[in-house]
Amino acid sequence: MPDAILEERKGSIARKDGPGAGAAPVSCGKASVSGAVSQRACVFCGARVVLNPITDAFHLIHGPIGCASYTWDIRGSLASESELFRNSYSTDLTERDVVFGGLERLRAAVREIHLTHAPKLLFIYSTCLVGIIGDDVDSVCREAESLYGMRVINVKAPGFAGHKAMGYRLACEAIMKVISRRPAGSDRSPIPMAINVLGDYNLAGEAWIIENYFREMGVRVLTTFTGDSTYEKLMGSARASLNVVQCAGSMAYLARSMEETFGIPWVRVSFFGLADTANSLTKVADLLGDDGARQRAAALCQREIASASAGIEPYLPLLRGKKAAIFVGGGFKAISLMRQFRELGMGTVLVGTQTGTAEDYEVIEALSDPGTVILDDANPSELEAFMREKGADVLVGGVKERPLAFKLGVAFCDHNHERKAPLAGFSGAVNFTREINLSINSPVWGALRQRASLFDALPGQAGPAGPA
Amino acid sequence: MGQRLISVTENPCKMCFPLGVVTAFYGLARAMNLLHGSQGCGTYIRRHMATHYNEPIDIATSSLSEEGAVFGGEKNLHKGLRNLIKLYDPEIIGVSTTCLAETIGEDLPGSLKRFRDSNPGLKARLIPVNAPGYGGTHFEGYWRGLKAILAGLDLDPTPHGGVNVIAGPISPADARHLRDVLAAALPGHTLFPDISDNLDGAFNPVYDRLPRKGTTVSRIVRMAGASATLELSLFAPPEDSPGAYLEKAYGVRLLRLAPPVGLSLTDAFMTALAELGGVIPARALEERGRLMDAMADSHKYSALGRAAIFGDPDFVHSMACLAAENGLSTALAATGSKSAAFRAVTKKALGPAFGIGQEPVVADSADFALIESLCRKTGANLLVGSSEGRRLAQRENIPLVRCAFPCHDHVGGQRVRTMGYGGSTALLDRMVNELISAEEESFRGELKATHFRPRSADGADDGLRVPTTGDDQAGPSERWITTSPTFTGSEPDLAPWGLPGAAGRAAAGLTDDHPCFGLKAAHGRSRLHLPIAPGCNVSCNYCRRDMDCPNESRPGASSALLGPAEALERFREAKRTLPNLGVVGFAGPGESLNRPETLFETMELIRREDKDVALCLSTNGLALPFHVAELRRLGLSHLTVTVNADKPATAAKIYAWADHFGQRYRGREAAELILNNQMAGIRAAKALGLAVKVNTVLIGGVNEGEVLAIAKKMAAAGVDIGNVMPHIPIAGTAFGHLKAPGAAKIRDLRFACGAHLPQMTHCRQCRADAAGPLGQDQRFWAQSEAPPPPVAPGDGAFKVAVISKSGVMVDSHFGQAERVYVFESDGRSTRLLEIRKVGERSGPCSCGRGPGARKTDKTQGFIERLVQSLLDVDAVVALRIGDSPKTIFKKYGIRCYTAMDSLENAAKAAASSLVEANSGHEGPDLPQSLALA
Repeated sequence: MPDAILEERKGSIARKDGPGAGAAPVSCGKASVSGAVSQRACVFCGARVVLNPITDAFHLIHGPIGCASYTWDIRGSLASESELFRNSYSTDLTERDVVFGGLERLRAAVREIHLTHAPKLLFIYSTCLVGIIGDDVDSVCREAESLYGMRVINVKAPGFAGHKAMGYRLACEAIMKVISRRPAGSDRSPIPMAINVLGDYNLAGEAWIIENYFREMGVRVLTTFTGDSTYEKLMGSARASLNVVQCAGSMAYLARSMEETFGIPWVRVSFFGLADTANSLTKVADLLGDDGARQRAAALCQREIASASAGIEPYLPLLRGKKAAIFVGGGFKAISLMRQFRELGMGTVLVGTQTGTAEDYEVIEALSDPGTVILDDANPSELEAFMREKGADVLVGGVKERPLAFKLGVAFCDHNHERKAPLAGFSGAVNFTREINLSINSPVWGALRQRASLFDALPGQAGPAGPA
Repeated sequence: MGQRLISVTENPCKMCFPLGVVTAFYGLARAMNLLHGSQGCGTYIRRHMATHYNEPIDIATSSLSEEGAVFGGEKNLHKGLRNLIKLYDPEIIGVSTTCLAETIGEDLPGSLKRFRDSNPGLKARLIPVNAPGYGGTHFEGYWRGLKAILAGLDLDPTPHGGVNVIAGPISPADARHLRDVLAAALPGHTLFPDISDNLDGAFNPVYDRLPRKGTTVSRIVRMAGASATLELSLFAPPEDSPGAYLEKAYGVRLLRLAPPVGLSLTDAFMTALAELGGVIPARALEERGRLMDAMADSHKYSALGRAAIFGDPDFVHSMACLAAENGLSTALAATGSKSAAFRAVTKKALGPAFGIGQEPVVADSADFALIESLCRKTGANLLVGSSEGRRLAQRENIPLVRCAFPCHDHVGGQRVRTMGYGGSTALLDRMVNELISAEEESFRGELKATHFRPRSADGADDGLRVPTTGDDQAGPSERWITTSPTFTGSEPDLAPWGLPGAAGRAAAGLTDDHPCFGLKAAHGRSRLHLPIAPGCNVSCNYCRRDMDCPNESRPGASSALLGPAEALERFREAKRTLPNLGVVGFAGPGESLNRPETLFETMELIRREDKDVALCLSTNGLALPFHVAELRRLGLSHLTVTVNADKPATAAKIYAWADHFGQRYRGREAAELILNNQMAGIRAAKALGLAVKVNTVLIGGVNEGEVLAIAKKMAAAGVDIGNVMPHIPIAGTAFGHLKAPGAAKIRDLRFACGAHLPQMTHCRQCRADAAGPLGQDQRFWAQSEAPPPPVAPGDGAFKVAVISKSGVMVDSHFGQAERVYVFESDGRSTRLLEIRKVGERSGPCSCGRGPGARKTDKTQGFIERLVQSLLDVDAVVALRIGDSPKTIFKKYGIRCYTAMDSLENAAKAAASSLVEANSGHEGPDLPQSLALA
C-alpha cells in the first residue's frame, strides 16, 4: 500500500489537542511540494480570476492556447450589461512564435481588437511562455495606448512566478494602473456616503444583493471590484469615502494601495452568515458616521434576520451533529465556514486551506473541536485519508475535489466560484443551509453505504471485479 | 459579439497538448502523470477533466518556480517523481514537458536517466513525452502520448498472431463497447489504450486512488509482435501515429479506419474484424438490424436537420458520416486542430444533402467565433459536439447534442455512447429528438404567425399573436431564493429529506415561540414562571430551596408559592402588563411533577383562559415517563429536563436520595432510577413531538468529565437543545464548598457540546417566578447576538479596543496587531468609533505562542508604542495578549480580555463585564466567548 502522507508534508498537518498540537503550527506559505498533486493554481490563474469580471474590458491571453481554454467563462460572475468578458481570447502562440517571438502576432491582435471592438480597456496576460521567450509586451502596450487611445495593461503573470496569491497582487497592481490615471482637472473630492466594495465577484449575483442592502441604507456603491464592474465605474472609484473589503485574500493589497494613493480608508467585512452580514452593514454605517444609515441598517437587519432565521430553522434538526470537512482557498473563508457550520449545530472535523496564514491557523485551531485535522495546501491523498478517518459527512471545496468526495460516499457543498446560488447576505445564509441539506441528507449516501457490498458475500457470485 | 478576429483565437475549440497526453496515460493500468512545469497546468487540466468524467483526476506537477525556470528544473522533477511514487506506487509514469520545461530547454530523457541511475530499485517505468502546449491541440497530444509509450517501453517483437486495436480520444463508454466487441470477436487482441474504467469508475466500498484498470504494460510490450494494427483514426498525425510507429519499427501491418460511428463506418469496422480472422458477434448483427430500423423510423425527421458538428477531427468526420447516411445535412463540420487531411477527407465524405442543398462548410483551425458566424450563415439548426457550444446554443437558440469532450454542464459525459450499432442508434435518437422538439415547439406559432389574420370588431388588425405555451405561468425556480423567504403553515409534511413541513418544525420546536428554545436569540418574547410546586422528589446536593434570595437569579429559588387559582390570577395580571407574553413555565421552586395534580389543574385553568400561550415545564425527570402523555394532552409544548450525569456512579454523588412511588431510594439505586427515568421520559416526550431542552449543571470536580457524553447521548435521543450552566455554590448545601466553574470552562464545554447538540448560549438562569423577556426581568430588553440594536450606546458607555486582522473576528494576537477597532459599548449595543492603524507589524509575537514567538528589542518597542496608543480605552480584547502589555494596562486600570468571536460580540461582552464590575455585582459567569486575560 502506498503512503497517504509524505514525510515532508507532515509539518503542514496538525491535530487539535493531538500530539504536537499548538507547539507545531501548520507550516504554511511554503512552496507546494512537487509531485504531491497540490490543489493550488498558478499566478496566471490568480490574476485572471480577479480581473476577468470587469465586464467591458477586453481580456487577451498572450501565450499558447491552454490557459485560454481552461479559463473561458470559468466563473459564475454575472453582468448587467456587457458580456464581453465571458469570451476567451488568446494569441494562441505556436512553435513558430516560440522561435521568432510572439510580438508581431500580439501587435496585430491588439490592432485588430481596436478596429473590431474598440474597448476602452485591454488587459494582456503574459503567461509562462512569454515570460521565457522575453517578448517586450510593455512596448506593445505603450505603442497601442498612444496609437489607439485605449488603456492597455500588461499583466505579467507567468505561472511559475509563485502561486495564486501572487496573481491576486498582480491584478491589484493592474487595477491601480488603470484607476490612477485620472483625467486632468477632474473632480477629486470624496463623495459622502459613497463606497466601493472590494473582493466581490458577483458570483450568482451576490454583489447585487449586497449593493441593494447598501442602497436601502442610503449608501451608494460606486463600483464593486470587480464583479459587474466597467471601465467607467472603475474610473469613478477613487472618489469613494470608504472601501469595504469582502475578500481580503485577493483585495487587501488594492485597499492599501487606494488608501496610499487616494486616501480612502478601508474596512474588512464579511457577508457570509447572518451575524457577520449584520455586523458588517452596521460597521459601514458607523464608519460613514451617519445615524440615519445606522438606523436603516438596523431595521434592514432585523427584518432580514427574522425571515432568514425562519428559512433556516426547519433544517436545523436535519443537520445537527453532522460533521463537515473544509478545504478552501483562504483562511478567512475557512473560519467563516466553521462558524456557519456551528450556527447550524454541525461540527468540523477537517479544515484545510490553500493560502491560509499562521494566524488563520491559530484561529482555526482555537475554534476547532478536539481531534480536528488541520492542513495547509492539502493533496488528494491526504484529504482522502483524513475524511475517511474522521467520518466526514460533507466536504466544502473546489470543483476538483468534488469527484473525490463522491467516490468516498461523502456529500459535497459547492461553495466555490462556479456556484449558481448566492451564498452571501441574509438570503445567502438560507441558501447555504439548503445546499448543505440537499447533499448531506440525500438518500443516495445511505444506499451507497449499505448496498455497495451487498453481493460480495453471496456464495457463487463473482462480486465486483478486483484490481486488474 | 463583434466582428471576427483574425490574429486572435476567440473562444477556443481545442485544449492544450498536455491534456491529450494525460488522457492517453489514463488508458493504461497503474499509470500516473507528472507535468514538468508550473503547478497551474496540473490544476487546470485536473479541473477540466474532473468536471467531465466526474472522477478524481490526480495529476502531479514538478511545481517549477522562478528559480527552476532560470537554473533548470531537474531537482524539482526528481523530487516530484519520488513523491508521486511514494503516494501512488504507479507502475508507469508519463512525464510530460509543458510550455515551460520545453522552452527552457530541459533535457527530459537525460534527466529521467539520471533519476533511474540514482534510484536503482526503481520499479516504475518512466516515459518522457515532449508536450509543449504550443505543439498542437489536445488531439495531437493524445497521439504523441501513445507513441511515446510504445517508444519508451522495451517492446517484444516475438510474433504471436494477435491484433492491436488502437483507439482515439473517445468516451469511456465507447472504449468499454470496443472492449466488449473485441472480446467477443477477436481473441488475442490488445486494445490500446482502454480508458473505460479509469475514467468511468464504479462506486466501490473502498476507494483506490491509483487507476488500476486499463491496458497493462505486459500487453503493450507484446504489441510489436502482433500480426496487424487496426488504428481507429484517419487523422492521427503521421509522425505520432502509434500504428505507423509499429509498422515502421517492427513491420506490423497497419490498417486505418474511421471510428465506427453510424451504419457504414461500423460496417467497415466489422468487415475489418472479419478480415483479420475475427467473428462478428451475433449480438452486433441484431443491433445492426435495430439501427437500420431506427434509421427508417426517423428518416423524415432526420431530413429536417442542418447540423453544425465541431470537435476533434475524427469525431467530426464520423458524425458527419452518420448524419449523411441518415439524410441529415451537415451545414458545418469544424475542428480546432490544424489538418488539411481533415478538410479534404470530410469534404469528400459529404455531398450536398439530396443533391440540392447547400454545400457543407468544412473548416479546420476553427474557434467558436468562426463556428458561430458560420452557424448563422448556414442556418444550422442542430449543434453536435462538446458542451463548449452551449453559449452559442443559447445565443442562437439552437439545440445542442452533447456527445464529445468536454461536457461540463451536464452529467454523464463519460457515459455517452456513439460507437457501434447500438451506440449509433442511441445517438441518432438523441439528435432526431432535438429536431422533433424544436419543430413541435415552433410549428404552431410559425404557422399561425404566417397565415392567421385576426378578425376584430372594428376591422383593425390586432397584429400577430403567438400563442403562449403557459411558460409565463411557471414561477421562478423554487430551489434557490434570492429574496427573503416567507414561510407559512401550509407546507407539505416532513419529506424523507428536504424541507420539512410544519409538522417537522413543531416537533423540532426550535421556534421563535419560546425564549429558551431559540438557538441564538431570545427574540424578546416574554415568559411567566409560575411557582406552584412546593416539594421535591429528589434531593440534589447543590440545592437548598428554602433559601430565598431575590438578588440571585437561581433556578428554583422563589418567594411565594401559588395555588392553581392564584396562579391563574397571576397569569391574567401578567397578560395585562407584559408585552408579548408568549410562554408560561412551571419551574419550581420544587419539582413540578412531585405533585402532578396541582400542575395539571393549573395547566387546565390557563389553557381554558388562553389557547395560544405556550406551556413549558422544567423537571428533574424522575416522574416524567408517567406523566408525559398527560402533559402533552394538556398542551405542553416545551420541556426542560435537568440531566447532570451520564454514569450512575456520578449521579450517585449528585443526588442524595430519590422518592418514587412512596419509596425512598439512595445511592446507586437512586442514581440509576433517576437516569433511567430521565431517558425514558425524554424519549417519550420526543415521540410525542415535544421540544426538549436538557440542562446540565456543571459541578466542578464532580461531573465535568461527563458533560460532553451527556450532550452526545441527548443528541442521539433527539433532544433539541442543550444548556450547560455553572453550578452556583450555596452555603449550607453539600456542594457549598465547591468552587464555581469559570466562564472559560463553561465556554469550552459549550463549544465541545455544540458539535453534537446545539447549545443555548443565552441562559440567564432564571428564578422560578421570573417574568418578562429573557434576561430582562422587567428591567431591560435582552440583547440578541444579532441584529444590532436600533439605538446607539447611551451615556456611560465604555471604550473597548479590539484587535483583529480580518476586521470581522477577533483573530489576532495583541503583539501582531495591524489595526485596532475601537468600539463604544454599554454592554448591550456597540458603535464602531474608529479604526486605529498601528503601523508596520513588529515581527515575532511576544506572547510566547505562535510562529517565531520570542522577545526581541524591536518587538518590545513596538508593543510599548502600541500600548501607549491605547491608554484612552477601558478594555482591550485580543486573541491572546502577553504579560508585559497586560501589566501596563493593569496599571492604568484597563482590563484585558481574550476572545474568539465577532468584534461586535467581543466588544459588547467586554463592556458588559465592565458594567457589572462597576456596579459591584460581577458574577462568576462571563459571556461564553470571553475570558479575562
